[in-house]
Amino acid sequence: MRNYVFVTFLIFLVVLTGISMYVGALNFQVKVALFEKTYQALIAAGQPVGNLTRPEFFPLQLLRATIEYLEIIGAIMAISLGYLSIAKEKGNNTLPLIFTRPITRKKYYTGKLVGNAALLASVCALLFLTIIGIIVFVGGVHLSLPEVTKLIISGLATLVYLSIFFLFATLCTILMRFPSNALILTFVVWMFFVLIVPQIGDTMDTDNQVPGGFFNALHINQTDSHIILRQFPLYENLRNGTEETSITKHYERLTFALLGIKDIYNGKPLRYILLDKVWETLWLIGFLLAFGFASLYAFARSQVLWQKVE
Amino acid sequence: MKNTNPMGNTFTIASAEIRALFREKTMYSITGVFLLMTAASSFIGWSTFTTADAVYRASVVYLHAQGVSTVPENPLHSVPALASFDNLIVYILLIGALLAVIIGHRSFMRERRSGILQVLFVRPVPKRSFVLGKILGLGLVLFSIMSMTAIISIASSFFLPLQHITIGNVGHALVFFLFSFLYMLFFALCGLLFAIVSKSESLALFIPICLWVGITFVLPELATGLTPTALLNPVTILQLPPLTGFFSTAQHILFPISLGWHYTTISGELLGSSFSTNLSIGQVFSGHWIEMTTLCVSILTLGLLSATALRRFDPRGDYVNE
Repeated sequence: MRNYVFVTFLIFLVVLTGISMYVGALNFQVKVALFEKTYQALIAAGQPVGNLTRPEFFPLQLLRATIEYLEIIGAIMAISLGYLSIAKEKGNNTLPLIFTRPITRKKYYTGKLVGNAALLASVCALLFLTIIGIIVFVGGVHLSLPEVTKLIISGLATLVYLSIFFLFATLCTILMRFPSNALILTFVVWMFFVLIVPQIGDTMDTDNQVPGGFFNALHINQTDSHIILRQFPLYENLRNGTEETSITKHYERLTFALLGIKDIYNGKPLRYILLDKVWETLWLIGFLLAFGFASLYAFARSQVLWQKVE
Repeated sequence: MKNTNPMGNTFTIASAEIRALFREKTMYSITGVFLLMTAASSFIGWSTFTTADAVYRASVVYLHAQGVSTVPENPLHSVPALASFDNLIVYILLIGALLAVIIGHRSFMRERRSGILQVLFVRPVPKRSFVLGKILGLGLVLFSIMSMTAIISIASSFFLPLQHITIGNVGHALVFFLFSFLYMLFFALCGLLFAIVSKSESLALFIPICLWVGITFVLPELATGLTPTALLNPVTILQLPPLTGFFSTAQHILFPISLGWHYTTISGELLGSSFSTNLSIGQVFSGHWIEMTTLCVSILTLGLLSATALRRFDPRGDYVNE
C-alpha cells in the first residue's frame, strides 16, 4: 500500500467508478427524456403509442461502464502490483539475502501471494462498497437482498479476474531477466486479450456491420436472425472461439449476466444465472489456477531471479 | 572546445537513435504484432463482409419462404470502399499508441540505464541538439512503421476488396496514415517526457499509459456517454445518443483535449466511415481545424516540455529505480 503507483491506480479506479455510474445515470435520463418527447409528439399527432416502451430503471445496469473500466484499468493496476512485487526484489537484489534465512522459496512466494491477494480483496471490497454507497446514498435507490448478493458475487469474480493479471505479471517478471521487458510484454498481452480480441469478436458480428444493426435494416427479429445464422456454423464458431480465448470476455459475460446488463438475465434468479454461466466461472478459475501454479513453479525454479540486474 | 555544428550533432543522435531502436527485440516484437494486426484487420474485414453478404442472401431466401414479398436492399451496399480500414483506426488507437509510448520511453530510459548520458554530456553536445535528435529519430522510426502499415493495408485492400477502390480512396488512405503518424508521435513524446522526468522506470511507463487510457476512454465517455467498449467499435460509435444537458456541456468543455475522440472522428471521415457524404480531404480538415490545431499544439508543447526537462536533467548521480 506504500507504493504510489498502486495507490495512484486505485484512486484513478475509484474516481472512474463514480464518473461511469454518473454517466450511466445521465444516459438513462436522456433515454427517459427521449421517450417522453416521442410520446408527447405521437399524442399530439393523434398517433397510437402502444408500440412505445417506457425505459425501466435497473440500478445494477448502471455498472456497465464500471465493469469495463475494471476490465481495463483494474487489470493494469493488478499488473503494476504483480510487476512491482517481483521487480522490487530483483532491483534491490534482496532475494539472496532473504534466502540465507531458513525459509523455502515456495513458502516465501506463497506468503507474497497471500499478502497481495488480501490487498486485491480489499481493493475489490472498497470498489464494490463505493458502488453500493453511490446507488443507495447518492441515488436514493433501495437494493434488494438478491441484488446485493449479485453485487458481492460480481466482486468475487472481479477479485479472480484481477488476480489472474497479477499472477501473469509476476510470472513474466520472474521469468525474464530484465523487469522492464517483462512489464512491456505484460502490457502487450494485456492489450491483446483485454482490448483487441473482444474487439475482433465484436466487429465480426454480422449484426454490427451497419449502423442500427444489419438484421434491423432487413426488418428481421432476433429469433429469426438466429435461425438464419445457424446456416453459418463455421463462421459463428470462429467468432465465438476468438472471444473465448479472452479471459476478459469470460469475466464480462459472467458479470454482465449477474448484474442484468445483458437483458436476457435481468431479474432472473441467481441460481439460474450461475448455472447458465458455469462455463465462464470455470474458465476464470482455470486461468487463476494455471497462472498461480505456473508462477509458483517458476519462482521455485527460476535462476534468473538470482542474476544481478544492472 | 566549442561545438560548431549543432545540426550535425542532431543528425548523429537521430541516426544513433534509429539504429538503437531497430536493434531492440522488444521493439521488433511489438512492431511485429502491430503489422500482423494490420494485415489481419484487412482479412477480418473481408471475411466478415463476404459472410455478411452471404447472410443477406440467406435472409432473402428465408424471408421469401416466410411469405415476405418485398425484401429491403442489401444494407452492405452502403458500406464505404475503405471500410476494411475501420479496424485499423482502433488498432492505431490501441496498439499504435502503446507502441509509440514504449518507443518514446525506451528511447531515453535506455540511455539512463546504461549511464551513457554522464559520458555524453561531458562532450560538447548541446542538450537542445540531443533532444531534437531524439525526437527526429523517434519521428523517423514511427514514420517508417506507419509506411509499412500503409503498404500492407493498401495492398491488401486491392487483393481483398470490399468495394471497388479508386485512386481517390488511396489518397484518402495515405492522408489517414499521415494523420495517424502525428497521433502516434504525440504518444511517443509522452513516453519520452516521462522517461526524462521520472525517477522510477515503471512510473515513467505507467503515467503515459494512464494518460492514454484517459484520452482514449475517459474523455470520450464524458463527452459522448458511450461506454469504453462501444468506443472501440467503428460502427457503434456512429450511434451516438442525443447530446443534451450534461453531455452537451461536457463536450464543450472537454472538446479541445479529447484527442482520442478527434482521432476517431477525423479518421472516420477521411476513410468515409461516417456512412454520410463523401468528404474531400480539404473539407475534412477545414471542418476539424480546431482539432488539428490542438493535436499539433500538443505535439509542440510536449517537444518543448521534453527539451525543458532535459535542460534541468542532471546526469551526475542519476539513478533509476524500478
